Amino acid sequence: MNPIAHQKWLSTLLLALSCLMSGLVNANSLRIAYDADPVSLDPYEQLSGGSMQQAHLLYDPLLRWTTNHQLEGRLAPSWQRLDNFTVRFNLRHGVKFVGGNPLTALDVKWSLQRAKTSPDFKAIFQPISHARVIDTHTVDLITEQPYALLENLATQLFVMDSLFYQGFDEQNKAKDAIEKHGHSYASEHASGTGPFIVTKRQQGIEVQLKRQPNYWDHASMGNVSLINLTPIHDNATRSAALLAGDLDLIAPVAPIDHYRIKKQAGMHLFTRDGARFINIQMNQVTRPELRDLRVRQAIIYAINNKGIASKIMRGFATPAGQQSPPGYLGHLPKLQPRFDLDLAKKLMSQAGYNKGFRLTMIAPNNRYVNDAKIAQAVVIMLAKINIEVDLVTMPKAQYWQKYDQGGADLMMLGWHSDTEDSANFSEFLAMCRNAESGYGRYNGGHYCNPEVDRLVSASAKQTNSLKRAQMLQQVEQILYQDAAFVPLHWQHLAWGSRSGIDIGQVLTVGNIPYLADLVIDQP
Amino acid sequence: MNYLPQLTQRLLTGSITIMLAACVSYWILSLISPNHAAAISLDQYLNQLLHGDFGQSQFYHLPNLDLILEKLPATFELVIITSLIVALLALPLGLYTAIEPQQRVARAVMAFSLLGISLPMFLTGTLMVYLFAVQLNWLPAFGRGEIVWLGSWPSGLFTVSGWQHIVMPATAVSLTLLPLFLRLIRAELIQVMHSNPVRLAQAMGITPWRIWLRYGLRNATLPMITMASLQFGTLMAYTMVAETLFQWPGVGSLFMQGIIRGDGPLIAAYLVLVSIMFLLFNSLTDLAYGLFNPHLAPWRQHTPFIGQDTP
Repeated sequence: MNPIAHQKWLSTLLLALSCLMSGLVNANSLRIAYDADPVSLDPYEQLSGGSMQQAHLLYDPLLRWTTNHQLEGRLAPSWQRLDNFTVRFNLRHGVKFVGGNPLTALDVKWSLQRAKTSPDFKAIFQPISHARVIDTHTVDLITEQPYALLENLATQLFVMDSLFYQGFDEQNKAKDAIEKHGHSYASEHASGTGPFIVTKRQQGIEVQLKRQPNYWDHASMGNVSLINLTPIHDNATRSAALLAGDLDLIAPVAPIDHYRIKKQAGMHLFTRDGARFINIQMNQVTRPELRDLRVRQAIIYAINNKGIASKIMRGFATPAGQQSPPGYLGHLPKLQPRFDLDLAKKLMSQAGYNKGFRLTMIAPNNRYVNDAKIAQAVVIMLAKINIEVDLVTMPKAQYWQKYDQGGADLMMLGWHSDTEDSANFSEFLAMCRNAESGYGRYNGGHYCNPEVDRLVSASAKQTNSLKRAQMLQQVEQILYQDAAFVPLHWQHLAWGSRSGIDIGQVLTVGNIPYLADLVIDQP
Repeated sequence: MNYLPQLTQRLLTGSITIMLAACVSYWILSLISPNHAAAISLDQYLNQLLHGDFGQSQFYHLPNLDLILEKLPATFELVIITSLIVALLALPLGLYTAIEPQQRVARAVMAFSLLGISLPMFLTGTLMVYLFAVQLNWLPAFGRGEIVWLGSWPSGLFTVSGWQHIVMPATAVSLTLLPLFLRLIRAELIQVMHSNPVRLAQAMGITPWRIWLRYGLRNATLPMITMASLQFGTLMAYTMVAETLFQWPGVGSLFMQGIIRGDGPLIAAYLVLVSIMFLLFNSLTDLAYGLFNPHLAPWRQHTPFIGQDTP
C-alpha cells in the first residue's frame, strides 16, 4: 500500500467515525448516575424509590401524579367513580406492549392480581378486592369497603403484558413468578408499554435504555432518545463525575456538594421540597418513663429541629411539627415545630425526672440525608435536660432488623407516604400495632390511641374530600398533643445536572422524574 | 535434591492457615448474619468450602464465587497496572536517588515520596479527581470505560477509553506504594555501595554502571521481593479504596457494598478467597527467592549461607 492510499484509507475511516460520533451526539443521550440501581426490572419485586423511578420508564400506570400533584390519565385517559366501591377506567386504544401484544382490560386485571401476590405490594393493593373486565378497553376496580384513595392506588398499578409472562422459563419456573432477588424471568425481562426499552443491563454496573420508537404518547415533547444509568454509591464521586462532564444528571446530591455545583458555570442544581418525613420514635414498651406524656413533650421541646434543618441539613429540609407535609390533606398549618428548653426542663421536673435518666438510641448511617449527624445532635440536645443517650448508628442493612425488634428506646425513622396521602403516615407510624392487619407496622414507639385508629379508619371510607381532610387534620392535632413521636423535618430533594437540562420540568413531589417528557438542550 | 518434605510441609502449614481463616470467616458470618450462620454448623461450612462451595450471597441470591469471579478481571487489571507503575518507576528512581542523593531533583523525589507515604489515599485520590477530572477535564472521573471481551474476560486494556479510565485509580494506588519501594531500593543500594566487594570492584576499575546494576541492584532484589509479598495485603486494601473512590466495578467495591448491605455470606467468602490468594502469593514469593538466590530455594536443603559482606 503506498503512503497516499494509506492516508486516503485513514481519512475515510476518520470521516466514517466522525459521522458515527455525531450521529450519537444528535441522538440526545442522557447519562445519569444514581446511588444504587434497582435489583429487578419487575416493578413489583421490591418496593423502593429507585424501582418506582424505573417502572415509569419501562411501564405505564393507569394514572400518574403531575409535577404539581394532580392526577393525570396515562393508560386510562378517563375514569369515573361509579359508586363508593367502584371506579371505572377507560383504557387507551391502540397501545402495544414491547413484545407486540395489544393492551387490553385483561392485562390490567392480570397485573392487579399479580401485584396483590407481591410480598412488598400486597399491603398497598389490599383495599382493592378485584378488577372487573367490562370490555376490551373498559375495566372497573372494586373495593370491599368504601375507599377514598382508589385513584391514588391506580398511579402505582403498572400494566404488564399478561401474554408475554405466560408459561415457564428455561429453569421451569413460571415466567410471572415474583421472587425477591430470585432472578425470576420477570425480573430480567420487561414487556411494558413504557417510553423506553432496555438495550443492555449489567446489574450494579450499568443499564442502557433506548426510546421506544412507537410510544403511544405523541403529545410528549420529550427529546431524550438514549439513557445510560450508572450506579455510583459514593456521594463525592458522583458529584465529581458530574462536574468533570462525564455525566449529565445525578441524584441524590449531598448537601455538602450543593454550593459547589450551584456556583460552577455550566452546572445546575435543582432542589425542591420533599415529602419524606424524618422523625424519632419514643419506645413506650422498653421505657416506662416514655409512657409519661410530660417526658415525651419535654423531649420534643428540647430538640431544636429548626436548628437541625438550618445547620446540619444546611437548609435542605423543612422543619416539621407534624407528619403531613404542606399540600397534603391532613396538613394543619398551626402545628409548628416546638423548641423551648426552659419548658422542657420544667416538664421534666414536673414528671419527677429533674435528675434525668439514660436512654439508648439507634439511627441508620446511610439511609437518610445526614442521618447519623442528626442523631448525634439529638444526643447533645437531650443532654441539656439531663437525658443521657447512648447512641449506636449502623448501616441500613442491619438497621431495619434492629428496628423491627424494637432494639432501642429512641429510634430514627423516615417515611414517605406510599399513596401520597396523609392517612398512610398514620396507618404505619401512629395506629395501634396490630400484627394481623399490619397497621402500626413501623410504630416503633408503640403509641396507641383508639381515637386515632377510629379517625384514620373512617377517613379511608370517607369519599368526601372536605370531610376527609377534617378527619386527618384532627388526627394530626391529637398526635401533636399526645407527643406521639418527635417530628424532625421533611427532607428536600436535590438533583444536579449540566445546564440545558431542567429536571424540575418533570420531577414529582414523590421524586419520580418523567424522563420521557424531559426536553434537553445540546451541551 | 529432595524437595518432597519441603513441599508437604508447605502444603500442611498452608491448609492449616486457610482452615483458620475459614473459621474466622465463619465467626464473622455469625456476627453479621446470625440467621445465616444458625442454618449451617461450622463443620458443614468447612465441608462446603472444601468442596469449592462458597455459599450464596444474601442480597444477590447468587453463588458468591460467581459474583467474585465476575468482578475479578477488573480488579486484576487494576492491580497489574498498579504493580507495573510501581516496578517501572521504583527501580530507576531508587537507583538515581541512591547514586546522586544530593541533587535537587533527587531531593524533590524523596520529599515527594514522603508526601506519598504520609497522605492517605482517599485524600490523594480525591485531589486527583478534583484536579484532573473536574478542573482540567483531562481524565474521566469514574468507571472502567469501554470493555472488550476476550472470551469470557472483559478487558479494558484494549481501548483508548479503557486506558483513560485506568490511569487515575492505578496512579492513586501506586502513589502510596511507590515510596516504600523507592526508599527500600535506595537504602539497599547505599548500603551495598559501601560494602567491601563494591569497593573492591571500584578499585579494580569496573565501570560505575556495571557496579550499580550488577552488584547494587541485584542485591536489592531480594528485599524487594520480600516487600512485594508483604505489601500484597496493602495493595488489596488500597485497591478497595480506589474502587470505591473511582467507582471501579471490581471485587473491592463488591465487598464494600456487601459490608453496607450486611451481606454476611459474601463477606465471609471474600475473606476466605483473599486468604487463599495471600497464601498463593507468598508461595510464589518463596519460589522467586529460589530463582534469585539458589541458596534460599525452598526445594534445597538448608546450607550455611555466606553473605556478601563476609570476607
